[in-house]
Amino acid sequence: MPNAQWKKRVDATSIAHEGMLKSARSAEVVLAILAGVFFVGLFVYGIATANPKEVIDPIFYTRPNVWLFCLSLGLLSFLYALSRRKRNTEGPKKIPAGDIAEVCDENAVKAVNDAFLLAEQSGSLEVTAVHLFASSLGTVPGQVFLARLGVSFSLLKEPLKRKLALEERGATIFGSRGEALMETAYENALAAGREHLSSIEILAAAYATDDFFAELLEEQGVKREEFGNALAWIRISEDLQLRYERFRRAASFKPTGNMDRAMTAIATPFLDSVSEDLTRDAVYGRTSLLVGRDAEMAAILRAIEGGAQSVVLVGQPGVGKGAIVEGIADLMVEERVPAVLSDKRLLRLSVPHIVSAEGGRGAEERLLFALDQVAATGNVVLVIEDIHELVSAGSTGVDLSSILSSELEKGYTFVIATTTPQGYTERVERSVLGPKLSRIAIDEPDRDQAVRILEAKIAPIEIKNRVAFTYSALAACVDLSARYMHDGVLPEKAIELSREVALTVGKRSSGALMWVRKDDVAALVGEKTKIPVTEVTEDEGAKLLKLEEHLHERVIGQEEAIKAVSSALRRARAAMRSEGKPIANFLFLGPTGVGKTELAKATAEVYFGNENAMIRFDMSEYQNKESVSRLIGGNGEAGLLTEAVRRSPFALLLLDEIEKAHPDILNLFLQVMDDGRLTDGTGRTIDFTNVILIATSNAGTQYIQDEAAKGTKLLMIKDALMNTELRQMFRPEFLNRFNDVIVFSPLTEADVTAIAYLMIAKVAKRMEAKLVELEVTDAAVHELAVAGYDPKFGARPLKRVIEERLENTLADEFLRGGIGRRDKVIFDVGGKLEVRKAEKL
Amino acid sequence: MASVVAAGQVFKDVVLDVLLFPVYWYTTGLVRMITWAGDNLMATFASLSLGVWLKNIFVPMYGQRDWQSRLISVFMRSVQIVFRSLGLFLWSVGILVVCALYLLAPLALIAFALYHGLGSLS
Repeated sequence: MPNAQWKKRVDATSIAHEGMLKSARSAEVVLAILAGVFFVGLFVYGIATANPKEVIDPIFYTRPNVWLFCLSLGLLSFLYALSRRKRNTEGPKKIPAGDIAEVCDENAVKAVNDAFLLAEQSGSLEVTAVHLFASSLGTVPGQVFLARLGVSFSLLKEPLKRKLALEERGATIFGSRGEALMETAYENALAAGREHLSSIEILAAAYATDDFFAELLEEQGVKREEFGNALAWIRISEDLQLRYERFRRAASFKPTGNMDRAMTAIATPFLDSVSEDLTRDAVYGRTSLLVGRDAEMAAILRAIEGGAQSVVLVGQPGVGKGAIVEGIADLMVEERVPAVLSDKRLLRLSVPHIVSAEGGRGAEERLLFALDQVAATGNVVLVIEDIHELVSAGSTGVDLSSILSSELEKGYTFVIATTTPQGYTERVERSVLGPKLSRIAIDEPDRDQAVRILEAKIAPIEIKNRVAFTYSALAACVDLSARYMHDGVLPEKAIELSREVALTVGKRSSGALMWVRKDDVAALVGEKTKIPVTEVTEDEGAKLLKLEEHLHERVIGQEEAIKAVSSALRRARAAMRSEGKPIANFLFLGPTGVGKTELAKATAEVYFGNENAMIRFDMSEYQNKESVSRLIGGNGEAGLLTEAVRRSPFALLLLDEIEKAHPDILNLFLQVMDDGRLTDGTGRTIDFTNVILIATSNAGTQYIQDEAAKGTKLLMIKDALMNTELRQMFRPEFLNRFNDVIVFSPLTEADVTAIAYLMIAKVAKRMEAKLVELEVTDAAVHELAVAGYDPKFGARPLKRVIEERLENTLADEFLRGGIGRRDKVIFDVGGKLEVRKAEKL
Repeated sequence: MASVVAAGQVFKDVVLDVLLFPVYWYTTGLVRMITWAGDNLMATFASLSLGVWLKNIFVPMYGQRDWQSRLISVFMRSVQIVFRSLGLFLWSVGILVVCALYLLAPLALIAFALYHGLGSLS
C-alpha cells in the first residue's frame, strides 16, 4: 500500500498513557473475572438459601428475581473478561497498512518510545536516527544482533553520547525526521515481505541515514558489507519459524502412505522397496527447509508445468541439488505446486538397488518393473539422483538409459534427475536420455548467498552442540572453506565446517552456552588443511617484518636476494597485492649451488610454515610441445601441475631451470602470473592466487661470475642480463610479469665457511638423536670449507666433502663400537677423531 | 505532569472500554467470529478432502480401469461423498450454533439482567 504514514503521536504523555493503559487493561480482565465469580457466587448462595420448593417452581425464574439478576451480571462479566483478554493479546496489524504505528511489533514500539525518552533526557530538540539507533539496539532483537556481531553495547555508549551531544537542543518532539525514518523502515519491511515492523528494521533504517553508524561499528570490526548479512540472519531466523509453522499446518493434510487423497493409487511394493518416499519424509519433518534458490526452483517448476517435461539438475556434488529436490518435496506437501505435481508422491529411486542387485543381472527387468508400477499407480514422480550411473551401467552390457528414455517417451510420468557437470557432458548429454531431460544448471552460490544459506542452517547445529556462532565465525566458515578447502563446493563445505567447529567448541563446554568465534574456525581450518593457523589469521605483516632474519637462518650471504624477496613479499601482503594474481612471482638467476633452491625452501618454511609446502617442477623435463598436456591435462584428464596446485593451493611453486621449458609452457605461466588461474583438462579452473611462484635459471652464469669477480654491483649485472641474455630466452612480457628478477652472487670463501657451520650443525643434530655430542673444531670447519669450495659449483661440493670426511668417519667409528651413548666426539683437522667416553652410570 | 494527564486519560479509556463493550462485540468482534467460523469450515472441508472426492468422482479407484470396477468406484465415491458431506453438514451446524450463541449471548444476558434487575427494584 503506498503512502503509509506514521500517524501516532509520540510524547511523554502518550508514552505514559500507553504504559498505564496496558496495565489497566490487564487489570480489567482480572477485575471482570473477580466480579463474575462474585456475582455467580451470590446467585449460588441465593439458590442454596432459598426454599427448595420455590427453586424448582418455574415461577421463580419468570418473575423478577434479584438472584437471577446476579447470575446475568456474573455471566456478562465473564463475557467481558473473555473479550477483553482476546483484545489485549491481539498482535499488531499485518503489513501493509495505512498507519505505520499499527504494524509495529512490541519491540518496535519500545524502540520508538525509548528513543523519545532518550532524546528528552539528553535535551535534544527532535528524535533523530541517533536516538532510534541507540534505542533499537536496546531491544531484544537489537541485543541478539549485537551479540551475533560480537560487539558489546558498552563500547558504543561513549561515541553515541558524544554524537547525542551534537544534536540540536530544545523541548523534545517526535517530528518529521523520526517519522521519515519510520517510513523508510516500513518500506524496507514491506520490500522484504515482513509481516510486522520490528526494531531491526528501525535499526537498519537508522544505520543507513548517517555514515557515523557505519564508522562506529567498523571501529568494532563490523564492515559495512557485513552489516546487511548479519541483519539478514535475524530476519532469516524469524522467517524460518513462520515458514515452519505454516508448513506443519499444511503437512497434516498430506497422506504419508502410498495412497493419494483421491484414492486412485495402487499398492506398489516393489517400487517402495527400491525407493525412498521424500514427501513422507517431508511430512515427518526429516527434510530441511530450502533457502534461496528461488530462480532455480522457478525454472524447475516452469519446465515441469510446461508439458510435464523431465528435468536434470546439473551441479557439483555439495552444491545443493539434494536440498532443491527436498525443497520440491516440501512444496508438494504444501501443495504449492503445478497441477501435475499435486496430490503426488515424490520417490527417490535408489539406483544401486536397481543396478547392483543379483550381481547386476536383471537390472533392466527391475527398472522396467519399477516403472510399470509408477505407470499403474499414477501418483508417483520419480527422482533419480546421479542419473549418469544409469548410463554407465553400459559396462555390464546394459544401458538402462534407453529403457528409461523409451518409457519417458510414453509420457505417463516424468523424472527429476540430478547429475554432475562431468557426468552430464560425458554420459548423459550424448546418451538417448540427453534430449529427454531439460537441463537446469545449479551453480555454486556466491559468497553472500552461501552466508545466508549457512545462517538458515546454523540453528539446529547450534542447538545440538549448545553453542552460538558470532557472525564473524559464521562468515569465516564460508570464507575460509572457500579459500583453503579446495575439495568440495559451497555451501556444503561451509556447513560441514561449521558443524565440526560447533562440535569441537561444544565439547569444551561444561554445560554453559559457548560462543564460536572466528579464531575457533581458523584453528580448525588450520588443523584440517595443515596450513598453520597462525599463518592464516595472525597479522602477517608483523611476521613479514622479521622475514630477513628468518631467511638468514638458512641462507648464507645473498643479502640482495633475501632483501628483494622479503620486501616483495611484504609489498605483496601489505594490501598492495592484487587479488587475482599469485602472492608473488620471482625469477632467481645465478650459478648452481649458491642458494636459489635453499632460499625457495626457506621462503616456503617462513611463509607457509613448512618447507614441504613446495611444489617443484624441473622444467628441463618439459621441453617439447606435448608436455603442455602433462602439466595441465587434456581430454578430461587432470594435469600434474594443476592437480598439485588444486590439492595444495597454499604452496610455493618452484620451477627449476625455466629457460629449458617449451615456449608454450612459458605462455601458460604467463597466464598464471597474470590471472592467477589455469583451466585444466577436465574444465576445472584452478586457483593460483595463493601460491608464491619462483622460477630459477642458470642463464648468464658465466657473465654473473665474471662480473662478480670484477666487483660489479649485482643491480648492474641484473640490468645487463635483462637487456642481453634474458632477452634472447624470454619474451619481454614474460619477464615483466615477475615481481622481481633476483641475481644471486657467487659464494665467497667466507660464505662457504658459514655454510659449512650450518651443515655441520645439522650433522650434530642427527648425532644428538643418538645422545652423542659432536664438536668440530674451527680449524676443522675451515679445512672442510676450503676443500668443499668451488667457485663454479658454489656450495654443492661442500656437502659431498662433509659426507666423505666427517659423516663417513663417524659412521665407521660407530660401527666399530668406538662411540657409545652420551659420549662426546671431537672432530679435528686432518680427520682426527677423539672420543671422550661418558662416565658410567 | 505527563503521568497525571495520562492517568486521567486512562481512566476515561477504561470507562469507555466497559461502556462500548457491546459495540465492539457486534462490530469488530463479530467480524472476527465470522472469519474464524469461515476458516474453521474451510479447514474441515480440506481435511475431509471433499473437493478431491468430488473432482475424482469418475476416476476409478485403486487403478482398476475395467468397467465393473469403474461402476463400483463411482458408487463407492458417491457413498463417500454423501457421508463426508453429512459430516461437513453436522460440523457446520455446530459452528452455526456457536455463532448464534455469540450473537445472542450478550443481548439475552443484558435483557435478562434488565428484566430481573429493574423488576426486583420495583
